[in-house]
Amino acid sequence: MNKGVIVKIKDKYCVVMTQGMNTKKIVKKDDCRVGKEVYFLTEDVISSVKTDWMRYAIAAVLMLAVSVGAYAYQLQNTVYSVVALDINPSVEIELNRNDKVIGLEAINVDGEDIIDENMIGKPIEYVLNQLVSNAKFLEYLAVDDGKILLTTVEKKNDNDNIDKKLAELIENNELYKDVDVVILQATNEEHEEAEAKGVSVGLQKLTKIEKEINPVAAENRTEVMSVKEFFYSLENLEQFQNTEEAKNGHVKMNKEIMKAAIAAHKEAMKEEIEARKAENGNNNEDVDLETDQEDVDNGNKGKPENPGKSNENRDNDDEDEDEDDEEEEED
Amino acid sequence: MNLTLIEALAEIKEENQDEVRNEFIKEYFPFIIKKVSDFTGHYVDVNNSDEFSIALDAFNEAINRYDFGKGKFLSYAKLVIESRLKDFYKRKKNKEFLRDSIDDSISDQKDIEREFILKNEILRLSDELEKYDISFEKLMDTLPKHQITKSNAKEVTRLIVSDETILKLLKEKGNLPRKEIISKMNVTNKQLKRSRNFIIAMAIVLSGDYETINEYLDIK
Repeated sequence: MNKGVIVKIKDKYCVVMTQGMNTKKIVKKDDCRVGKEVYFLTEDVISSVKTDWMRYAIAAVLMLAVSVGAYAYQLQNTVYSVVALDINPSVEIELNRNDKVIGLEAINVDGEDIIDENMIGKPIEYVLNQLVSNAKFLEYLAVDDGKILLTTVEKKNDNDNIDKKLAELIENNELYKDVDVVILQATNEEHEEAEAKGVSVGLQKLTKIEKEINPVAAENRTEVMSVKEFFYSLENLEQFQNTEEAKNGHVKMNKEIMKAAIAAHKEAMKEEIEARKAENGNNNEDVDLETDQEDVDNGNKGKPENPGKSNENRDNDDEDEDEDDEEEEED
Repeated sequence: MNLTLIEALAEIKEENQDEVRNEFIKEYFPFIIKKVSDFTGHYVDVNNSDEFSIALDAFNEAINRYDFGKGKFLSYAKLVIESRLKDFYKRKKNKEFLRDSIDDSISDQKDIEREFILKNEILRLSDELEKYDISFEKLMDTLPKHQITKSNAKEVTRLIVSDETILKLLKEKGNLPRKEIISKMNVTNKQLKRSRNFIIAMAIVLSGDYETINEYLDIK
């Protein structure tokens, strides 16, 4: 607390004189008069010109630092590319300019199982290895017969750096030795479209490709297909290798294992497709029947029915059963 | 007082000694002044502030009525001060046309006189300093910061005021007669240059007719 006499009044401050002829600037308040003796507090004192100058200088330096920091932060946190990983768990990985992971999103429920917050900030190679290891550990990915689809989307970069990086990784890393990996490229538009639909950009791309090379199978499909389905279908696979997409991307496949797997699956698939066709024919009839005839005739339930659902959504099993019943009823 | 606020309050309430209480209130003068200043929007007048005395009473009242379970003492005190000040303004408004008590008007008169004299002296001083190219702001910016420099400057001022020739030279030249000062005192040219404004201002107040401002000088 100080005591002083007001000696001068300016627009924005008053000058007071205190004991020892010290003069100080204080904040101007109402009722300031020259000659008035007042009590004032340290908080009322306006620091001298010099310190003001220093304060502005410090403020300017700070602001500069903050804006540079913000710019750097923004640079670090701008999404330059996206890598979508599809096994069955689907995960989307967002990368910054340095291919460090700045965002991870599980596109389906299984995806949640393999992602981990600690992956943020790590290089893409590390994160991808972690994701694939997790998928193997949780048996989403068959140890000797796994299929991985990687889809890259360049958001800002025009080069295909990230594709090269990924290709190098899957060709050289032990982790991918017994796994088939396909790397596709998707455009920004495709990515946005998939995002809007809430599906993985990779699977959406596969669905599109299938539509081109195997219209019949595609037509019968109601769900977004799974990676396994696509690659277990011989027609798909053979033709896929000749597509533009496959050529632009990168395909790493163990042909021996592949062929064996395909052979094993081929028949089942065909049957499935037939069953599917049959079902499709009947689908046009009363949908109401579905509920009425739910409990009727559960007996003769044979082959797996819906290739679109067999590998993916376990939740749909009940529904599939219903469809079965209906099918058989009609027969 | 090294006690905490609560301990001090407890002591005041238990022992009920005026000395302890006054000491405590004095310690919280800045707080009370701040509350008054915040409330009124102007600085608290040293000589005559009804608001300040009301706030002091209110603070005292707050000490008496404070209940330890009621939350923070200072928040409570602030509340009491503000409500007493509000009451005061209400009363003042109602009494606007009535004269205040005689006592009040006498003390008011004195204060107004003092303020008038001070104002007069300040304006004269301001004019006189201008001849030496010194403003109050300039004085502020060039004030010696160290105690030693300050006491040196005071020494020089005493010399100037006591030595008629030097004082005369100062007023004629409008600047410090440095040679003459150095010849009579152990002081350097640089020191004189640095403390020039401060020395001149003090010398003028001391040698001139500035009785009231004189109180603000440490030199007698």
